[in-house]
Amino acid sequence: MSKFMNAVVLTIFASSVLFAQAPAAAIKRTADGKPDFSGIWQGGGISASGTTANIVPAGGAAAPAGRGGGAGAAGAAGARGAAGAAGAAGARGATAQPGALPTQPPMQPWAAEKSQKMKNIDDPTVHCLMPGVPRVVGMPFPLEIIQTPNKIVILYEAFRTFRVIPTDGKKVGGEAAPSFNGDSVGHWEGDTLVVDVTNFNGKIWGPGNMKVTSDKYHVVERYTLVGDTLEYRVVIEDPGVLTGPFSPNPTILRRPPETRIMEYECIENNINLSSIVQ
Amino acid sequence: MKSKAIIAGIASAFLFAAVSLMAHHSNAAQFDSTKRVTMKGEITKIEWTNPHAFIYVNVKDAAGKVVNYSLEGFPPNTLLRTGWSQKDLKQGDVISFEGCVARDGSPILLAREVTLADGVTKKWWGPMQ
Repeated sequence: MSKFMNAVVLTIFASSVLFAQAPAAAIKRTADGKPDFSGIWQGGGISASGTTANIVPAGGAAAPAGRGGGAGAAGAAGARGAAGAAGAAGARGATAQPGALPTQPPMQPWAAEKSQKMKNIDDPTVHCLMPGVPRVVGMPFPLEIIQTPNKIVILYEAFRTFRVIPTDGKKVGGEAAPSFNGDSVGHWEGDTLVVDVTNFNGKIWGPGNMKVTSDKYHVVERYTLVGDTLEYRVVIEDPGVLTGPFSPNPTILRRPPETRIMEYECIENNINLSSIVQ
Repeated sequence: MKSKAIIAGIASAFLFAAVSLMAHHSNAAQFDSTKRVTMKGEITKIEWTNPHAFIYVNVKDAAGKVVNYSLEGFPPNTLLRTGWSQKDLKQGDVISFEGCVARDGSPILLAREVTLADGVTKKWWGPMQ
């Protein structure tokens, strides 16, 4: 056997030993051992597959042609109890418990009535305003995660927005004005990144049929690598609108075919008003 | 005066507002999915714009009258990712297209498929909703 072949065999052997020693989940990890979320992901929409093949669902029912969000916009499943949903609490390594909380928003009566009366034209995104968290995650456009040891940056093609999320639990940069995306502070619970998002401006829609939010709107996100997918769950609280926390069904983010984040300037030609006044 | 100002405000809101994403299209309200037509015509203008792309096509009816139809499509990025190139379309090309007509009879079409001059058919928009 040639030296070259020896080297190849040795490399294969060494690699298999390395893989054998990898944690059971065998997820991709960064140099410091954290799950590696880096790269392009997409939660919804036809281009996730690179074709239009998946836009016609089985049974022939009309598909939401990349309708922004769907479950993706909704976001989440019950990760923890109400106290846990409040944010930084929660045992390290705790796993999400889908179904622990209602999947529909338990709205205060006035909020339920207001949400029901909302029309397309009332949706902030129809005016090209940012969808906020978690709706932006399920949009039919890719997002890119840039991961460093103590920070994650998410670039969203949809509405060309971004978030900078410290992952060491430390809020940085001082006070910020209430905003569409809020302020994010993350920490690791085992292999799950838990992000506490507060300081919203009360101008966004929440997930699902929660079409009103207050400045007390509060999101706890949980990002977990599951094989080749990134599972995204949220718990929503809003004492100004809800009677308790809820956690919509999770969004599964997948790796789309090779692509890159491109520009999406929503206001460029936002002319079609006849379809939103209905 | 005050009411006039309010009306003007509402009017401008309607003018500048529009559909940001297919996510928020009320297609079922605007288009009739039971009335699908296939037409052929010459491209007069192409807008590779966000939040939606448009093709404008001159279509001659049975009486010989030319009507300019607009075909609304996916956002440009989505079209690129699903196999379109901006080189696929140019002014003067004759294309045929299949889609759903507007309920109010206006010359706009939710164009599901476009067949290019070379016979290749591509999705310009997804199924009706």
